[in-house]
Amino acid sequence: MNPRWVKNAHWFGLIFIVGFMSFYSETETFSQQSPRAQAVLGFGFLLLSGYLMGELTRRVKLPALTGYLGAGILFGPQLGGLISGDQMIVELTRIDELALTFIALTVGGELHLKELRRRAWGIVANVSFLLLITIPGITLGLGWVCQGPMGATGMRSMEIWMMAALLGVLSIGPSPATAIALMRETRAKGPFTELVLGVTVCLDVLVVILFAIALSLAGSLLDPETGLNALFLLGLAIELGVSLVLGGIAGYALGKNVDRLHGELAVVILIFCVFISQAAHALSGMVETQLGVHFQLEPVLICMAAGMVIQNATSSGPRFMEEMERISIPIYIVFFAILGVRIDLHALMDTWPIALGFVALRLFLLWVSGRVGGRISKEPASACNWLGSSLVTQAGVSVGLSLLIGVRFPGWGSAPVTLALAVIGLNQVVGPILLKLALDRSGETVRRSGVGEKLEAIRKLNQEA
Amino acid sequence: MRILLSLILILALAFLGHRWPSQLGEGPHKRIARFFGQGVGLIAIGIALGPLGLNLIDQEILSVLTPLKVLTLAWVGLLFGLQFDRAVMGPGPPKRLIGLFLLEGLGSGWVTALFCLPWIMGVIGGGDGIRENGSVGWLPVIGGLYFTISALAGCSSYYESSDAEIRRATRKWPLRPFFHYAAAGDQLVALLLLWAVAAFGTPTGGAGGGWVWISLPLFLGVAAGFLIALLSSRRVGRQDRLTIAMGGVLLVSGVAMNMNLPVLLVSTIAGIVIANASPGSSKLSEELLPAERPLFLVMLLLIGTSWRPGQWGIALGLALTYTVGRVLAKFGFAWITGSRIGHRPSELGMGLLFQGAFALAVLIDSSWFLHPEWADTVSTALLLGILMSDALGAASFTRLSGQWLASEGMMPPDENATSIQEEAAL
Repeated sequence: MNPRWVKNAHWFGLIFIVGFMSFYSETETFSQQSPRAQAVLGFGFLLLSGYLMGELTRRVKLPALTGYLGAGILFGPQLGGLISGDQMIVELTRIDELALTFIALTVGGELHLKELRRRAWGIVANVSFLLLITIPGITLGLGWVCQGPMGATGMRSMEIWMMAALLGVLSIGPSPATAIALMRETRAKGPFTELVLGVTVCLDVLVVILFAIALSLAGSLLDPETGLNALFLLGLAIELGVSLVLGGIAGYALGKNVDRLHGELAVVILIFCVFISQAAHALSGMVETQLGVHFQLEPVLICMAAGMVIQNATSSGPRFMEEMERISIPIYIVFFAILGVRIDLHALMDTWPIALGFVALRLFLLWVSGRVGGRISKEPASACNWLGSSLVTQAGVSVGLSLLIGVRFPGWGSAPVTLALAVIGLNQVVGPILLKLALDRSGETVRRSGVGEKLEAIRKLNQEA
Repeated sequence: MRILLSLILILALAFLGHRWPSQLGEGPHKRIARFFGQGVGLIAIGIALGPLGLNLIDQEILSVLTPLKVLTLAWVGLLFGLQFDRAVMGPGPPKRLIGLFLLEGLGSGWVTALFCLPWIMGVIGGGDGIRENGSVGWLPVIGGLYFTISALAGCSSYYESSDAEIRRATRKWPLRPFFHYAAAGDQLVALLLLWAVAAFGTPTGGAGGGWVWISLPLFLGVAAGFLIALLSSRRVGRQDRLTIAMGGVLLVSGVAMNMNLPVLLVSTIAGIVIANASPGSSKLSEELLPAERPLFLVMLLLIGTSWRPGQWGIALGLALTYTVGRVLAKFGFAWITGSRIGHRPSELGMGLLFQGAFALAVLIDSSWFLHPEWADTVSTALLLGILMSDALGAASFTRLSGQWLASEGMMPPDENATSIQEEAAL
């Protein structure tokens, strides 16, 4: 094949599939098809276009994740319209759930308890300062802005402060999925990477707990008749505990059988992820019907616990992770491209000045927290400087939690939801870039440590040959 | 929820079907394990799970699982097409042999279909619905069916024994490459005939669209193949290759599903283009190959679950006619071909009887073209025909290879005889 064609293969490929989809999605045949048939085509299109966009963004030294997200935003319903139609997106979301559990399993598998124990103090100190500085900082800043210069019309003062507090809690929620995908992409390894992963996972669990507490508190403060529901908090603790235990058992069972599986391990991992996600929903539903209480097992937490047990309590951790890595790229592409499809650009357009301010303030507070926490836990200077930037990413969990505000407070809840979606959308775009920069600057990525350059040089020599 | 659990059930069964025969194949549960791993066993399990059995997988779930079936066809087609790499085929059979294999596949298919013609004209063609309401007219529908049966009957596969020891021993069998080429030729003929079916238009697609339906698979297959070839021509890692291959397979499946095109054909064309345009095609095959068998097993289960018997009497009659006609046609053409290339016609005929999973894939792919009025009956007849041919083919193939193994002293004649009986029984 012509070397010039091969060199520009990404461009040719992207132009070809986008051109084809643009033409075909306008035809009568396409509009007459079932959403399922459209979803298969959409899935294939997202996979290829995401991959190609990822390769193109990599050329300009940006993370491939930005390309995957970009494909979703560009070709999604709000811009290009090549992936559109509610039914088609619902069909694609089914795959999204599988991807999320898969990524959670990977995150768990990356948590080496031995290393974490060594870094325990650093993680605890950083998490503590992130909570102590970021949540109050965002609450005060947002409350002040909404009370004064950019007053939120139609909201009582108490409601504004509650909104600010809820968004403050939400702002500490990072995205472990993005972190792990980027660490895999850059092959980052080292103390800073472990610190970032440890802090990210801790915050991911903490944000769920703290948000539930804040939501309950806000409810009782705004409506004193409701009162603080202690049972609700107990229920939450039970849900988290049961999720972790079930994850541990499932992970142990899978880990003990990994060596018996050969070529089929990848298929088994995918079946495992679907099974966990469905079994969690089924069990939750069963408990609700039988006992009449709200009960929600977290598939993501179960998978995280399972991955951690496989890595730390069985001997098959390395082989398991190797297989996970082999099949991870298509899953990451689909997950982030669908995330891009679902970014609410209208919300961003409506609230962009305050959203930009929120993002900037959050970034500043994260940076300050990282510096203070890092200094106290005696991390190297580069870690102190870059820890905050590596926690900017936000994704699925934050979106889910923000939507709960609207459900819990139907009156004024829509305003914070719109703002939160806009901020999360911005963080999804900015976060991976900053995280890659942080990992590069810490000197723990393959490229930075010199191996990348060597590999690149060998590749170029091979191409010339 | 139910849908995903059904999907898990199907994947888990396919996985067990993949693992058990090799694990239990040599133990005391040999017979059960082999039965489970064979096509008939999985189709039977599919029927038991489907609407005709326990209804664990109902019509709604089946419609959701359709993409999986299409994906399997695309996967199989791509892998099949990837075999036709000119560079690899160079030292293969001489051109004369290729011509003979193509002639054999085409001829035996046509003769078998000719045997079935009385059934097609007399019983199926007599349906008032087709005469009066057929959207593409009576002749194209009958012609389409004739070509479909030809495509299926011409198709043959190389039989791999489920006994690991026999499989290992027959790797050095001199006839092995010969039968492999013959099967590849027959399968290619089957796809070409299926393509010709498109010329008659789909029963619901309207008349006059023949040339469009012929050119679309070619265009899409070439375009998708060229795209995948272009992307995999660069030096890419394993993960990238898997992503490109999966993306390509999904894109091809999606387009073919949307346009009601034969997926197997489109993806085979794509595979042939990749094999000849991309230097990394062999690595692409390596990435796709491990999933082929599990996907085949899923397809067999889905054939069982979505099976509707139609009119039993007609189906059984047509299936018997198909099998007898096919045996006679294969032996007849083996006699013509064998005498020209210095092979014993009986050997050649025995080796070409087995149809295998590829024929089932062709059957699924051709179901797009069957008229809804008699689609169930014809599908049942052809399914039974393929299964009967497989039983005959497996037995004759095992006997043939067994004779060689015995002559080479690799297996005592008694043990050989037992194996043959067991294989034939299954």
